[in-house]
Amino acid sequence: MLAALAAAAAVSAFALGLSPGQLLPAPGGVELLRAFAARAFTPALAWESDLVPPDAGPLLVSVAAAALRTVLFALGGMSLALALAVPLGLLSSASFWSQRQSGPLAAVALGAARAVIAGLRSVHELLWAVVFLAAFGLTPLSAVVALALPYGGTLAKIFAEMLDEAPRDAGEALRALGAAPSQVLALGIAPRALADMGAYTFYRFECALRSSAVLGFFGFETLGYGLRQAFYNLAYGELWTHLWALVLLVVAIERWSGALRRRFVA
Amino acid sequence: MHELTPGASAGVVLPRRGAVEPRGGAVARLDGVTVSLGGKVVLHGLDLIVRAGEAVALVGPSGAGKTTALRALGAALAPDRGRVWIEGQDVLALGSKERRRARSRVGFVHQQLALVPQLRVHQNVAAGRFGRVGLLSSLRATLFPSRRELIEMHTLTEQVGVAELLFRRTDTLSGGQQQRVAIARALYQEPVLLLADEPVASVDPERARAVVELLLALCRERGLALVVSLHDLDLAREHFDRLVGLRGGHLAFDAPAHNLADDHFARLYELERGDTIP
Amino acid sequence: MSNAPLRDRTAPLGDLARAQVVSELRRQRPKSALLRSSLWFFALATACAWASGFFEVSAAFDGRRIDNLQRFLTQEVVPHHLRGTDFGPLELGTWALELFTDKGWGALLATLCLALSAIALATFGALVAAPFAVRTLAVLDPFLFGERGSSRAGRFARTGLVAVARGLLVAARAVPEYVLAFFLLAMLGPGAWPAVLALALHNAGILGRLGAEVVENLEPGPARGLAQLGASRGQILLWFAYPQALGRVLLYVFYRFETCVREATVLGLLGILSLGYWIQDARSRLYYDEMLFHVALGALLVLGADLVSALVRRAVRRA
Repeated sequence: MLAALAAAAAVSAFALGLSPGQLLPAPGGVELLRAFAARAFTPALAWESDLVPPDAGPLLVSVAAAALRTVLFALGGMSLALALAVPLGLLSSASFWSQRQSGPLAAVALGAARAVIAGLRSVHELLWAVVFLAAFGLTPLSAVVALALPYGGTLAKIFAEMLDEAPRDAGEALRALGAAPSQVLALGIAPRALADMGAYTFYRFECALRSSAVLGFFGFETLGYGLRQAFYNLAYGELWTHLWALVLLVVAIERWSGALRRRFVA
Repeated sequence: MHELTPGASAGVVLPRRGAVEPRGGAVARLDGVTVSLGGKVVLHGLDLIVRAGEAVALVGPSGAGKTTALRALGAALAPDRGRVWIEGQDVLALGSKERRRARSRVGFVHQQLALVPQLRVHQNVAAGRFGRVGLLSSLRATLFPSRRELIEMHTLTEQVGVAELLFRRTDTLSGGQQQRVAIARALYQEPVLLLADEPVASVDPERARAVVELLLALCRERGLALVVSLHDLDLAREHFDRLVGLRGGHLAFDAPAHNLADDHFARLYELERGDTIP
Repeated sequence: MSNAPLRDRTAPLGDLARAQVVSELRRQRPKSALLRSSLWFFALATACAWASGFFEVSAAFDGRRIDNLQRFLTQEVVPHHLRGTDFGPLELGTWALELFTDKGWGALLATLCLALSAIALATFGALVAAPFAVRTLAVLDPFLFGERGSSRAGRFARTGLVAVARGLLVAARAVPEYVLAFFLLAMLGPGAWPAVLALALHNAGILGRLGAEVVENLEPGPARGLAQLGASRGQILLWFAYPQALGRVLLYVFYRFETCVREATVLGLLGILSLGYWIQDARSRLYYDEMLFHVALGALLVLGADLVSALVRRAVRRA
């Protein structure tokens, strides 16, 4: 398996014309790298570039606001994604339909739900953003919906898998004591998958934060926006401030979800 | 041995589907029930009548069909042939809603307990009434139990000895404690018949006796019929008035405990040749 | 519970007294402050985010935007030279085929090659980096005496090494591929390397971290046996950690391959020659018909990669 992967990679590298020689930095690249690396541990605490608009507040306030907006976009996208994922996940899970009469209708509905999920997932959130920018223009809702569609599809897919893999014994027992299919699913099977679903949702929130930051490159004022701006202004100190803010945000969320996971997921 | 077996199933003419149960006084009844699982016949035309308030032990080697017989009695599986009556109703002829109602009249303590480990004890006990209510009421009872329901559940869990654990998460309980929760859930159904599948399979002898005595006491007090499948013959002979022997999916005997000689049990556990009774 | 009386034979409690007992039990029920506060935080923060008007929901539906959307859906998505004409599936097919042979096919291949090169490099990077992040190996006498009899300096050096390795892996994972590629493009100049390196770095961070955890969770028996034979740390790594962890790590590798394809498409937006390049190119020229064509092509590629990755993972699981 590894050998096959290596062979495929070698062919690809050849096709792309990748050669180690090209790894040498482009003209000016070395100076850029040096200037860039020099500020890694001395991020700017105040504006350094002359190109900053005069009405901008202090740098740290601006970075904090960008971080807040990054979180807000992630929250908006994730909440919409969840609203999408719960019904879709249910409709695309075998356990939802097997509790009911299985017929051609069920098979069609299951197939349709899975096709919708595959469609949503197959387009990257940044490409959704590009499409929405073209269709709607630059409005925060474009970013939220762009995040929500692929994340909703992914969450739905994983939710359905977790629901289908959850142990069925308790559900069977509920059925034997007279519970209806909906009760079996909601109170016999779903509780067993809930912790895993929560942990996965939290992990996707972490991903949504990163994506939300990158949306800044498309004009939404998240951390990525300031990052790109600082780069174009050659203000590497400011750039590192934004980068550190992003890394700290992501690591903090990861720590938080790790603590919850250790406590609730076996 | 065979004179103890009432009516071998072959010659029995089955009543029409949905017909009135031939004999009254039974809380549950199997009539010529044949069940196959995964292509293998595990019950061959089993006849069994459980009358109100009696205590029956179902004995036999593993693979004899004890669990399947219990599940058939609780209307938890659909037989290939034969009839299942619960409280005089043919469960195969019932609509899904009435069938749910019929199931809710039979409490079942599964061998693997089959509780939802992530829920709290009172939430698992509350599941006992799901057969009578819809989805919304059951969600309400699970998330926001009323004072009256909690008092009732506390009384029940006190009787089985786990009252102080009412609000604990079920997976933090020991196996023995969880078994008591499963019994409480079955009693919360207010059943007419309690089925217990190998309730002593994984407990030490001292604890096994205690569990069997608890089940008998709870059922006697409420006038419930009790059917327990047991590996342990001594325990069965000591505590139950009626013993039903199963072997290879066939009824081997069905008689009062004092009518059965050691010989019957010895044959029950003889090595089987194939699936047939010698 | 074992010796508790089977049934409480004391005088039965009245309803009132029982209600008090129940509410006392309920008050004392074990609950997790962490979980409760987390749930409340997210519920409130989400509610605030939507209520604050930050997303400008109503503004998104004002007349101008609706016109914009309508124009986009009815005019701009129609292939340019077919607009206003009465075209059928044949003309549409010709247009798509032309676009595909002209730009799509090459970009499709380039995207796939980027993803393959990157995942191979990431796997290699993870294999090299992961051992340094395994806590069970970073002791004086792994799997047997542990840290017994070690010097304080040695212990400090080993825990420090693991902390640095983990920190680097976490940092590589925390920076999005897109941002990495953006910097690398400026440093290395145009070409495939910035995309390959960015994808490889990010994924090596993820795979390295997961790989280290897999090794830490392995059943230690065989390693103890090796250590008993006097195997060095490197030998334990080669004959225990790698072979035992490989299956699981491969599952992750093929799972990440799918994500790599997805990301490789997008990195083209920065000017690297993958599908994203043509998407950006069409977008900047306002050729939205072409843009959507390439987006759809990317979606098909991802669906294909998804399928391959699922099949391979199933095979790995069986093996």
